[in-house]
Amino acid sequence: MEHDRWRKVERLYHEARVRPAVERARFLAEACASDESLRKEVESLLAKGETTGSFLGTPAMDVAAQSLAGDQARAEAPAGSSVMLGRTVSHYHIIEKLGGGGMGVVYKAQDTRLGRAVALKFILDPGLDFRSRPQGKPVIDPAALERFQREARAASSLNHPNICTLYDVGEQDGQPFIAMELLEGETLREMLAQGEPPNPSADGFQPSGETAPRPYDVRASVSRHMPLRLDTLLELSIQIADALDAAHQKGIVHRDIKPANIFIVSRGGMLQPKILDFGLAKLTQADARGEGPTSDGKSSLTHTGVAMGTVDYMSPEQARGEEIDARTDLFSFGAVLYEMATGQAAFPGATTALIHDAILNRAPAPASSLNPALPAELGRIIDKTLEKDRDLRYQHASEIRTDLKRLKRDTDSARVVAPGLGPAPAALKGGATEPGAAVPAAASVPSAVGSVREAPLRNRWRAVAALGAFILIGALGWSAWQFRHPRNRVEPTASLPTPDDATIEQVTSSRGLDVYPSLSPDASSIAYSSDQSGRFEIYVKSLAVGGREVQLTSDGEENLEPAWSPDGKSIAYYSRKHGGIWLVPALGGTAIQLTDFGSHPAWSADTSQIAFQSDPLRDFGQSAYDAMPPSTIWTVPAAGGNPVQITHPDNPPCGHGAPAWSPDGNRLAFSCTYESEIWSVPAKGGDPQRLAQTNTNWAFDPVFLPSGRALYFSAGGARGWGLFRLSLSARGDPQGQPERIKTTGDMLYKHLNFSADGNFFAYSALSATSNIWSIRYSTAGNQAVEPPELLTHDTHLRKYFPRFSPDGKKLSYGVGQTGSRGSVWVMDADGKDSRLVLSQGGVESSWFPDSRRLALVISQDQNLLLTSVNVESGRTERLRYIDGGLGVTLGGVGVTLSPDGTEIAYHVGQGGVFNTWTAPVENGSARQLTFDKEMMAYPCWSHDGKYLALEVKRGSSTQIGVIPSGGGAVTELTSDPGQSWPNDWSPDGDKVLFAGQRDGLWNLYWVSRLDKSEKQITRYTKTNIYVRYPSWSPRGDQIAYEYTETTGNIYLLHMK
Amino acid sequence: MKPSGLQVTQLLKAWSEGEPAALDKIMSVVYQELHRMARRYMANERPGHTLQATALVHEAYVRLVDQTQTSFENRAQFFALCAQVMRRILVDLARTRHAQKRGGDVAPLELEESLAVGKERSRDLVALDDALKVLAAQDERKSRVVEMRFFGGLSVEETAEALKISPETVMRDWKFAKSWLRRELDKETPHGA
Repeated sequence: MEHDRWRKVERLYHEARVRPAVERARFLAEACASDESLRKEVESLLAKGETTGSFLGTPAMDVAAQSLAGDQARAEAPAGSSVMLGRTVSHYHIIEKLGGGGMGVVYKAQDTRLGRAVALKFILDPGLDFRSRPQGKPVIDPAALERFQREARAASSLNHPNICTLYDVGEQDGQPFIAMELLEGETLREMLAQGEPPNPSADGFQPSGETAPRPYDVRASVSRHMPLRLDTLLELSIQIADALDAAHQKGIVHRDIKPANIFIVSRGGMLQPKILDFGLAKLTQADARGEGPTSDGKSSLTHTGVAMGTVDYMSPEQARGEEIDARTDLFSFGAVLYEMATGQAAFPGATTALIHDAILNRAPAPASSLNPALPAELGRIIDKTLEKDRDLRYQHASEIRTDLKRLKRDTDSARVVAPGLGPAPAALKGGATEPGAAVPAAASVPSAVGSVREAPLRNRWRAVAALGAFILIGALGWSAWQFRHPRNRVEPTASLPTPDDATIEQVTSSRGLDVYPSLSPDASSIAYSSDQSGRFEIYVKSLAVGGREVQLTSDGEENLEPAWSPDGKSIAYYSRKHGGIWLVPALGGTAIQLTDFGSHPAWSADTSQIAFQSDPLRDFGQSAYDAMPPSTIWTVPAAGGNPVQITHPDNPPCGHGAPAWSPDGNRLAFSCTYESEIWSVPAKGGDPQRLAQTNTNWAFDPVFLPSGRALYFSAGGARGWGLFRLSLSARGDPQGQPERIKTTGDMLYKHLNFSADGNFFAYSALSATSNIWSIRYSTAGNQAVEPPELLTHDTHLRKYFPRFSPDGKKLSYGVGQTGSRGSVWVMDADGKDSRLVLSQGGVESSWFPDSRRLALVISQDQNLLLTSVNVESGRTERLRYIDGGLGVTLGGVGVTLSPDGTEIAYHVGQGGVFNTWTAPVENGSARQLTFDKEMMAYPCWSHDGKYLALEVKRGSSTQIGVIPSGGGAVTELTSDPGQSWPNDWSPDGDKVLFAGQRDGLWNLYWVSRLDKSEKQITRYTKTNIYVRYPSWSPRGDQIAYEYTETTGNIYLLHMK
Repeated sequence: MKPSGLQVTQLLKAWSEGEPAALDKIMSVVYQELHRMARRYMANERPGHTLQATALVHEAYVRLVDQTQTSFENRAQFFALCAQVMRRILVDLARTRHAQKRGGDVAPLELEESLAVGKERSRDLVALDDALKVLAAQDERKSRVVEMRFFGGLSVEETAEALKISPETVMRDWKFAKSWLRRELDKETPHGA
């Protein structure tokens, strides 16, 4: 087509397009005059224009990137599931696929109403082969669906620690789904399948009952599996029997008890089985499974003739298609017990028919013939559960539980006397070895590095004896044992050691916070603080094989920061709720209070003194400082006495925290908050000395190498977190600059701790999940009216400072690694359509009145430049340099724009003293508004621009203050101990919205400027979360804020 | 190969200063990066992320380009470039799959389904790519608009910035090009496979 004609077509197309359809024909007839082909051309395009609709509407990449990598996922997934990720089903936001197989597909999802993670399982017709029918949808009879929901609700009434809890049932596009407890661990099937590494893609996941249509492709007579240790077997099976009993009492039969349906989670060193899919097997098993109708005679949810899953654990009555009852579960449980005890299937067979035959007609080989170490009593229990005639079986699960418990009691008592004190009792027959031989087995585990799984699970019977030996020796006390312990045999190396990553061993596996490790002097045990009970308590765990966790405190006083004394006798800790430093005997006993203030205790090498910081522990977030100004370092005699102040708040001018003794006891190192420096001071008081300065934003937790020749600490900044080391001379003077010896990326290694010989290094690795949430707020009722809703879906990057645009339609927010400049993002107020506005833009921004531009501060040529950025185009415009007249640094400035867009307010910090300034956006001089000696900072404007709310620091607490924006007196609105961090105002200009920490818990609050009344908005009760930066929507009906959850676990490694 | 931000930044600069050889190198780096990112998203290494073309392109920009060294004009250029690269990735993939299918392989992937460009009728990207080439011969700018909007997932404003035209013009081009392409693709059906 010629160019002119093309232009003509285009012009007419647009001119006609904007006219009403009825007028188009006449318009075109006139405009094209006699050119009939031109008219037809334009008309044909217009006709297509009517139908383009969604044509090209979704960017190709959205769909097609999935096909770049999605082949496998698609092949495994049922209809449409490859596009499930990121979708919201009902109120569940689907995050990742956990597994899929015979019974359905399981996703990890976020319950956006309750804010918890759940497993979402789509129940599918097991007979459909989704590989060949990607568009196939199970055809579900509505009556069956209804029955499914009814039964699932019945099953959801089961509330037992060993039954995976069902939260909810629902339906999406005709596919029923179940929301249930999200579990992490492995199935019993995988635990038994030693030598078969678990599916790596499904590691730490929730199974769908089966990950393959058949668990074992060939049932050879030679087992591929190992029996479980007796104590593990009993620990698990007693709990399983208890769960079966609870369900059967409610009239709910599982019908498909098998290892793949028993999930094993590890909690605090204990193994906890969780039975999956209770009551659901009935719903999904086809009629043909038992060659007959299901017990109630109605059609099942599925109606294919294909048997699903495995038949290996089926009862004879199931195999015959007879009506079944609770005793069927007991038979299947027996088959599972048999496999746990022998490592072999009770009814082996290469085909389904052979297995059926074995179940119906053959007695399994005696368990004791396959595992001679098996107690005869266990053989008897198994035999009784596997009786083919159900009237001869155990009749109730409680009877099995009783027998198993009795067996456990007998073997436990046998084990304690076992090692070296006479002939091996029956329970250990064939597996018993003398203690000397057991020692290497027990001690070899610390070198089983890099494994997060519980090594003991895989051990043979003989390990029972080894464990027995260890328990006995453990009872004699660690001191008697330490001379034999290999951890003490390693000589310190001459050169400065670095962490040997190849030896990392995960000590705890909490989904909350297990933090503050402190090794016993011989490094045979480790003390730490865990929130597993809901409150922080001190725990001690043996690092030897099978080492149990012992809870040392249980008073609910939020006990943290344990420090093991160098003589091994006591553990000092900080009680957050009660305050002050406490002491408890390492072997357990009554705790006594040593001081009534301070935190972070550290022992001198001679055990005579404890050093601590005056500030309480602030927070667990990654960016939590050790201590804030005016925190100082103190010492107190360990035997009791008056605390002595060692440092003074203005020397050095920063917050002094996290003291550590030099090995010779002469000096105390400490972190210096806001300056990212490490200092030391003579332990008896005197002039402090700067040891290390970093270019990072944070420096934490200094710790001396026991030889005294180096100091290690953790620090972070724009390049992520890392471990640093500073060489020290024999006299303790710094030699050169600190070097980064390890980059830890998103993970922050905190709470560093050396063993006394310097060969072992323990730390907490903290990681945070941060998102913007929103809560609906009723201005009439003055309260939150709906549960919080998740607006962003990201992982470890922090989301800061959400801000509603003045028109209420958008939310700006910052995204960044702690310590990095971060980037500015904008999304719709409902969380949709988030997009990057400016990278390196900092994380705090505020809107201009036009709702199109944001004001933010960027760093340029060592100066701070106030800049505006257009959120649509990304275009930036320089506004002015910020100069507080003092050495303003980027880390210490937060700038907010007045609602009319003409002024900025910000704070300037120096030497730990912060004050608020204002300045016009256009040229003009800045003005200091407050003149406090501590802190009046983080200003935020009322919506009418008349007031600024401020964070006012008083001692270790912060309060909300208000000042007229033109200057004047500061009125303090709150007087609560804890933290009060203002961030926004209510639209009516009365209430200051803030993130507050009360009793160690962070929640959102407001306080009224007029009458100082205060209201708590959120009700979070977890200690490992915090909320920050609440922003109130202009209509007052929504509050957006950051919610960050920190998880942490304890790791141990060798130094090399 | 791990591209440094600096490398891509310098290449972008060289390209914008009229050095055509730089483009192939950038394309190769960006291709690998986008490909890797797309796979990573699909492999769920970062749970919680919804795959969005826009997010990919923005992330690629953050990862590959040293922002302290570039102006906003370069950002628009980079986005446009990503769109071009995405088109190449997707069309190459579609052509490969097409060839496999004709070769009689049993393709487990329902290609036409996954790469459908419209909801009502299943089209594959090869036909769209061909039609876009015809459009480009007639009106280069309109084909670029489609490329950026559809393949790159760029917003109207970003497209406008990259092409140095007004957002209104982008919208007009976009509407017209969609009608035109739709007609071209429908035309082919009777003759097509």
